[in-house]
Amino acid sequence: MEIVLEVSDIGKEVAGRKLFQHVSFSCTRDTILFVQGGNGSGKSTLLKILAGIYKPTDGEVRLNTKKIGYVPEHFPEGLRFKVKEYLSLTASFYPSMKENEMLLVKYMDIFGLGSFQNTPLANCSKGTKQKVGIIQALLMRPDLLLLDEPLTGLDQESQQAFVSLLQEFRGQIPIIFTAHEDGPITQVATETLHIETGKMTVYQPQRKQQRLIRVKFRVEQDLAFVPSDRIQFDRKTAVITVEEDKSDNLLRKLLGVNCSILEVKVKS
Amino acid sequence: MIQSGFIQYQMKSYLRSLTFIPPVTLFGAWIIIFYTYSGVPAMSSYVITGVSLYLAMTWVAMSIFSMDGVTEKNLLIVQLKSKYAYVFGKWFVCFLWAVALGVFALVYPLIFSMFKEPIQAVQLSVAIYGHVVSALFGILVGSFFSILKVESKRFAWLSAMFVIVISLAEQGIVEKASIFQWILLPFPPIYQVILHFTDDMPYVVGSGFWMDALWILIYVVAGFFLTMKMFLRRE
Repeated sequence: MEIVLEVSDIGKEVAGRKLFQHVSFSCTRDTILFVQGGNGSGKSTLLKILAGIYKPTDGEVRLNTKKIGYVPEHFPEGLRFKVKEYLSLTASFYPSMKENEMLLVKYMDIFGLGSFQNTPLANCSKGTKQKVGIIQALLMRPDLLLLDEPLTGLDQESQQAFVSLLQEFRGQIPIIFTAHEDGPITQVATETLHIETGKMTVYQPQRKQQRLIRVKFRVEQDLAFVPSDRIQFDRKTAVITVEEDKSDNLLRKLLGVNCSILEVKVKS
Repeated sequence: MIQSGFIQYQMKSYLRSLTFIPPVTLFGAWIIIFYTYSGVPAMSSYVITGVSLYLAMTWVAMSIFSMDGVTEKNLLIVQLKSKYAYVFGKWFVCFLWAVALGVFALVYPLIFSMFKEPIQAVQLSVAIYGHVVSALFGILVGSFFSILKVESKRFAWLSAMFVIVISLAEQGIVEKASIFQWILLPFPPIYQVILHFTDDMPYVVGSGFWMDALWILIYVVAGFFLTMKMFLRRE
């Protein structure tokens, strides 16, 4: 299998502080790599090095492509374009691609951006900007996809749509992504890179026991502290999915905001 | 290397930022006010508009090179697949503005017959050359200090203005103390342009013109090369 990216013993030092060192791995078209590490461990910096934005302090990065799709952790602020205009403009950087327009329509449809196409980016929500950030990377039909916390700010539907899209890319291009914890996106990973140790291992998802808590609430806002991908509303009741070890804490919080606990059961 | 899509992106972004209004309006207004009276000598007038273009283009280049935020810049570099394409694209946008302003400065007095005598072809050629070089110096100073980002934006502007003032006063300084001849070598040799803008009739290209032009060419190429190297190092 052809190696698209090879990283040999790289390290990065910023302002005298070693972010990471001795990181080595290689990617083929089959690789979907989940970069794991704590806050400030250099996950975003590693992606920037792979994207060619930064140079490593030590080691070497060998890329067999220049077509890299990069989704930054935070989409740039203050862009002076409308959604579709921005995507069309950035897609026009690759003039040979005649099907750009069709592809643009397809991705805007997948992410539900149809009604936002003439909205100025400055007026868009964080989630919408994140979708634009993802689409601009996909539009260039990259040979390597780098995603820095791509699900940040996305609603559950878009998260699912994006994860399904990544499944489609499986085996066609290597994908490298960062994420804070196990979530929908990590389920597509084939390998994990632990940035602190610099070692790549086969990905084994943590399968913690999950519980379902059904509650009756007064106003939806009382449940604003629950992550949107963990809750499903049904009129005045909601079902919350929570890891077993966090369920007692959550129950206490729910009672604190005057919710009635209707049911607690183990998720099958 | 220069991608039309990126040029469009930068042009739209610059126009919508509205930061083009002060330098372009001031330059345009200055040209119109400067030619309030007709019957003025051609080359002496073109010296003034050339120097004005130097100042205006420094302003324009600083604005264009500092309008992208860090994430936007990073994203553009990845989308363009190269840092070179990013910088060359920015320079090209600056150059398009220079062409627009330069053409206005050169053509306005000709359309309204402001000069006391018809301009010779050789004079017009030297005037075009002078405006191109002045604009390039402006783009160079503006992009250099914008990329250098000394301490803060304010210091970048101060440094750029300092370089402009010293380069304009260079000949006077050197006449007072010849030691400065070498110290001031890194400053844009704008005097080597100005000095050939004479109103002698008939106008003859001076003997030192080609040597000065060669030095200016070397300076401009080296200046842009160093600016690019600095960008690659800093980013």
